Amino acid sequence: MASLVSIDTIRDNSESMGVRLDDEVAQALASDVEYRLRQIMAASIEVMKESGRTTLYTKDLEMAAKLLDIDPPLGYQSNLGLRWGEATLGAGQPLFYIEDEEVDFEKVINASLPKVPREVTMTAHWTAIEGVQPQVPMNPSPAEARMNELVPRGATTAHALGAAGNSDNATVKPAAKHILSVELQMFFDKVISSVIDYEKDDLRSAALSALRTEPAIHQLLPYFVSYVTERVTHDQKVDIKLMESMMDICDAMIDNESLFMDLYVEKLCPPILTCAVGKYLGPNTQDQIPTFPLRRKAVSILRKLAINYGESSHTLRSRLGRSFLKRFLDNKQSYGSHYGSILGLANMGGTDSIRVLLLPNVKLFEEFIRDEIQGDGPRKAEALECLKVLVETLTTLKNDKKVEVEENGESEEDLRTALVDGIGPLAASEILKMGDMKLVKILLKSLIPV
Amino acid sequence: MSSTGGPAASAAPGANGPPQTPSTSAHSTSQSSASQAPPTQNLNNIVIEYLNKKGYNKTEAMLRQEMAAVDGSIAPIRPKEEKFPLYDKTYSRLLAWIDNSLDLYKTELKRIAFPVFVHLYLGLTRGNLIAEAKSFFDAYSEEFRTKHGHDITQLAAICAPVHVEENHTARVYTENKYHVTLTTVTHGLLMGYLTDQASAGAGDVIINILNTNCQLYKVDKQPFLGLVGEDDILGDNEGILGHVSKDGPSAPQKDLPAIKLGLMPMDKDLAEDVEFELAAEDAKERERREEMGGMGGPSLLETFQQHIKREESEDTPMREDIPLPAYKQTDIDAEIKAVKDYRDKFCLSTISGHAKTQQGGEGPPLVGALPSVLTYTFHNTNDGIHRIAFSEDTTLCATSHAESYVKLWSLKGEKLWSSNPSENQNVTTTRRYVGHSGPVYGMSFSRDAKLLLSSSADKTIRLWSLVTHTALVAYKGHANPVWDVKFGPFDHYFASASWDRTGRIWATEHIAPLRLLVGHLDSVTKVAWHPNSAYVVTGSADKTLRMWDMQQGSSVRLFNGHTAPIRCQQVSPNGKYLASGADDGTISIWDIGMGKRIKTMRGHAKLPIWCLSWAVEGQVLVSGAADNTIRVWSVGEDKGNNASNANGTVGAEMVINGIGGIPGDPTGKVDVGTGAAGMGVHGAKGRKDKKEVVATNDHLAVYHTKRTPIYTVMFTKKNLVLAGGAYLP
Repeated sequence: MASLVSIDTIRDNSESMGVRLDDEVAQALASDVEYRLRQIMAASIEVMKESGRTTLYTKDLEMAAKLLDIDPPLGYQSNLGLRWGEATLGAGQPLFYIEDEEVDFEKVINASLPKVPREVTMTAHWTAIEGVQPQVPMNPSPAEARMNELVPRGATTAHALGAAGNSDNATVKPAAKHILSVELQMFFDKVISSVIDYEKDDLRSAALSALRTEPAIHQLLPYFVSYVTERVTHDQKVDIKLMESMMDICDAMIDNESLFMDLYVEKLCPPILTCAVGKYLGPNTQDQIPTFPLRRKAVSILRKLAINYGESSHTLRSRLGRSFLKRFLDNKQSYGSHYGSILGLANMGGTDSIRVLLLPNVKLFEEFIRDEIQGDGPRKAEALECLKVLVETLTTLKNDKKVEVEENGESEEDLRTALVDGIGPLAASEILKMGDMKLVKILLKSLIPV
Repeated sequence: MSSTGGPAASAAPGANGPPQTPSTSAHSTSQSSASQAPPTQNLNNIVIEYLNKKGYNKTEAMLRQEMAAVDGSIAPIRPKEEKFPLYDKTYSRLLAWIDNSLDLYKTELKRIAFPVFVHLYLGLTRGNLIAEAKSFFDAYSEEFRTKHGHDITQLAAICAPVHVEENHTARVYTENKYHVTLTTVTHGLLMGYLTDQASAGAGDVIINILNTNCQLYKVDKQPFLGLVGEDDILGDNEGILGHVSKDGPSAPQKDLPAIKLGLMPMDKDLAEDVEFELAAEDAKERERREEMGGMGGPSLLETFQQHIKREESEDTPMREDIPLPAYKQTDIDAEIKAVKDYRDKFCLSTISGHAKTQQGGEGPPLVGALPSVLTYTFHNTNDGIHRIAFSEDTTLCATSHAESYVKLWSLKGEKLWSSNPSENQNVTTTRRYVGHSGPVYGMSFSRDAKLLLSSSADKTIRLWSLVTHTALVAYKGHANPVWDVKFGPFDHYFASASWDRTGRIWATEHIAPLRLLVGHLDSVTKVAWHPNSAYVVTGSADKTLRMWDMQQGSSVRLFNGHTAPIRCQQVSPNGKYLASGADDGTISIWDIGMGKRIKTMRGHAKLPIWCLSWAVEGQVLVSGAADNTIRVWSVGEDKGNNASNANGTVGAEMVINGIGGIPGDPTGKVDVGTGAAGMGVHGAKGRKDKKEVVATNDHLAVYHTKRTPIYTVMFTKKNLVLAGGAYLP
């Protein structure tokens, strides 16, 4: 006879307790077990319905057992998945059983308490106003309602069709947790620890090259970005080397062709910008010379960003240019900051930006550094660096093809005075030292507003 | 209509049958006695002596031989092996006969089949023919699924003789009679068939079952044609009706206990006080209106006198019968508020939105609209909220939780201060009432929102003060979890329902129950009060509802016809109708006076209906269910006239109509719309294979929620619907 509980099950159970049963007895027991099961199920379904639910829980069974005067089963909680074990009884006879784990009492007592569930909250909303369902996120959209298979035919579905335009997409996204695989987490930790470990150069370069080439790390992108941001914010005045490592990470990520960086460019810019034009970087505010290479690196990364992602983010270039110019013209900024901004302006827009943004302001800028250079202050070296980079930048205009100069009979002396007049004596003398009259002419021509 | 003793008629096949019937009945007794105690030795001796004396030697030898066989067997007595083929053959022959009969009679005759099936199955099981019983069950149970699905599931569990004695459902069937009402012709047909079978020596099993386990009623009417296709509706008074008075519930209506369904008359002094205050308010309002120069509606006093004031009449219960505490100022305020709310209430339409759009601008201007629904959705519940209750003044809401506490919410966003200063630490807009030691189920606010009742699996009912926010009383008495508790209309009394199959009536000032409502055959799921406070209606998992006289504690009405356990019920505001919702997604409207079903409303998915609420005028019903919808139903015009008409004259016709459950047809006064609705339902339901639920035409509107089963709906006094549900992501 077909029964839910097979005789074998009964026999296996009884044998586990050392009782051997006749077939007939086992049969009778099997049918009785089935009956008891059904009895409990019927009662627990009733309990479930009384609890206003349509899902059966273990607590319903427990309550039903109580109602039927049966000892409630102990030991299994609904939040612990049952583990099934399998053993073989001779050839091809698998026996399944529930693994009964031994629980250390000490462990249970000392275990941390489970998380407190979120408090029940209540919201009030209109489900229908005079028979029309308003299109608010709390109500299902008509599409959702139509999806509901249970809509009876012939019923009047009272939806405000077209009442609220594009509200079809009024969906509420559930708060989802981003789950990283263990492998990715390990990768992340490994890369970070290797990159900031300056001792082992090979490991460091391996990590960076992994970051540069690995195609499957797009999930880690936000984590790297936020890590860089965090480190730069906290440690910019602590560790220059760390900052350089961070820039390396950024560089590597930008280089990685399989990463979709577009969304993170906005996030990535501020920390790099900080490294380029930050007022004081590193632990020593008196001597900023060591930070200049970092600034140079940061600017070059920004340049790469601007070139690679200028298209997807139209305003990126102009925004960067604006912030560089602002610092360049601010005499309250440090020389380090000025250094970074000159480099930035030089790199952002090519000769155009040098001609339009930098050149007219050179004379003004000279006043910031003149005293320092002529005197013998602690920052003379920094000021000289600035002057050097400024002149370097101006020199690049030599190759600017947009400005045409014609040979005419202007005397060298005239040009000299005009240049000093135009860009100030310091820069002018540096440029004149080079003795390239064509460059001087280009500069002079560029100075005249078009 | 004459109710001949059904059992007598069917018990006497010998009266109109051939002479050999006595022998068949003797045969059947010997067969049934096989499983009973053996006859005493004494009797055998007497018989043998008698046979000796008369010289019936062969008979005597035969008797001795048989006796030896019976006495000698120590093994459990197994009934003859041919019993099963006999059962199977008999039953299949009955089915074939029913199938071949005229469509006109088929529906009625099919009702006979179910009890016969159940008892044959139980008989086989009792005889320890388990395998045969199972195959018999599997072969024939399917066709009863729609009508008797609940019982079929329960009976399927049985798989040993001892279970028959123990199983609740089986005992219900063996210890009670299954009631079937047949029209004269059908009754005659059945008797004819049985007599034929008996003469062929095969029908006795069925006769036996009909005799001992069924109660047949004969009504003197023509079969109703409309019954065809109404397969999944239970007949009038069909089924096990539980403990009934000896006349049976199908006795003519004059035998139904008289009940007074009018509303409770108002205390004369209270009415005078209220009128006085209303007159003052009217004067004030008139002044204001004269200043504003606007038009005024009916005055408050008029509204009160026309609609609210209840005076004594023949149909109202006596005030003296139900002792109530003296009225207080708050009662006067409540009455005045009720009058104002009644005047300012929102007018509801009973025409579906669909029909409205079809009518366009041509029809007469429509007054009123569909109700507005304000839903309170609870989040992060983990399905741990059992019920939700709103206070009548819509300021408070309470939720009962599986974690043994009740939570009170302020709907106005005000902090819930306690009058007891020591309770006023960290006051927020919610309060948690801790005290129960098991999951909490039912809750009920008193009308003045100063008290809250809660019932729990710990078998107690607790009374909480909403003024001090502390526990006041624990009422003990129930023997099992208490599923539901409800305050009566005057706050003084309350009723409860429990797994222990009883309902109880209590007064807040007594810790023991005042009345026990005993009669249901299964867990009592819900209670509801009649608005006049003189009656209580209980719904049960035994698929019936009962109305109890609160004074007598006796069952005065039985509402039988649902095919699944009852989940909610509500009496209409005028006290004449009852709406009930069941596990299978159907809602029935009953005429309380007649004790008959008026109609069944479909539209919800086949999931439990959790809640119902009547609009103030009683024409519109709103239901909330586990299928995540709120639905609006038209119950029809206030059929006050119709109903009284029916009460007086229709009588038997109504019974027939009741069998089919066709809405309101008997009076012939049904408007075309409803009639069409009825036909539409029939047509649709004819196709049995359709799994889809087809809404009946009284379905006005459906409002979907976002995965939020609706636990409670409540019409406020101004006809706004409040709904509560828990969002289950």
